Amino acid sequence: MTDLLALFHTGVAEFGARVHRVSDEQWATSTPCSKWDVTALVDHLIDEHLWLPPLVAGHDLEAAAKIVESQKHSLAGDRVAAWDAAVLASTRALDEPGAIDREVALSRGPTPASEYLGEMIVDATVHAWDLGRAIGVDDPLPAELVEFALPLARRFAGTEPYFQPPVEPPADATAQERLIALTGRPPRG
Amino acid sequence: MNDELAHRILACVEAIPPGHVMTYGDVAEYVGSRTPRQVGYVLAQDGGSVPWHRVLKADGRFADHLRDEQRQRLIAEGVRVNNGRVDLRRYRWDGRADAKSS
Repeated sequence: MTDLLALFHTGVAEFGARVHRVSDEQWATSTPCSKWDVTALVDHLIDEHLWLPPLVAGHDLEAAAKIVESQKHSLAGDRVAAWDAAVLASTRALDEPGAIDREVALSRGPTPASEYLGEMIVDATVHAWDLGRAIGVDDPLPAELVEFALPLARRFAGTEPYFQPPVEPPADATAQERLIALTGRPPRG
Repeated sequence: MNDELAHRILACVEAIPPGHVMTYGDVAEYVGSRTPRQVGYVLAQDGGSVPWHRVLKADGRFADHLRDEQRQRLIAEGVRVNNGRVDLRRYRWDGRADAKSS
């Protein structure tokens, strides 16, 4: 379980490193996620991190939604500061002893926190690639993140609304490129 | 300690870009302070207005009393933490203004 938390931190750091490298004129740049520009993509991840503390604290969806709304209100404005604040809260919530062994109330029903965390790791990994591609940061993703995300991405490949239909990876694709292709993005496009 | 030295310590810490770190010793050397202890003292007194979390112990570990928050803040801005320690070879800031884009 400790490993899962370490992977979560690594995924957050990957996305966070790129958030801090978005230049002023890049916030409206489009990303490989068809519907999102850089601001919307970062907001999507901020949102995920705002949901985590109330869910891990055991709130149901309705109560958690209220908390998230009030947090969002207080985090309007600077998106980098909002990201930092949201991550501070989510990592703090997971630092609590036993947090990762609880159940969280997701829309699909009570779910082990470890499973929820696993999906957030995949999201952070793939979206870090998206954000990097959008702002011109092509640093490779950490191998351990790609290795963790691949089987999950295989399982969920093409399931709307989480993933676009997979694209065919190049014959000599790296593990990272296979992951990106599975989630519906042309890895070299 | 004089105010001028404290001011230089805070200015140095303020200049560390997100995703980078310095050690107490690095900051002391940078501002010409005699000892890393002075850096710790100034940050404890007046560090709230500067990115205090980017200053680490000589071995890449966190300040004892703020360990959790320091780790959380660094993770948010892209610093990887392994077993309670930051890899200084990878994240140490050398004082160049363009380090952010390296």
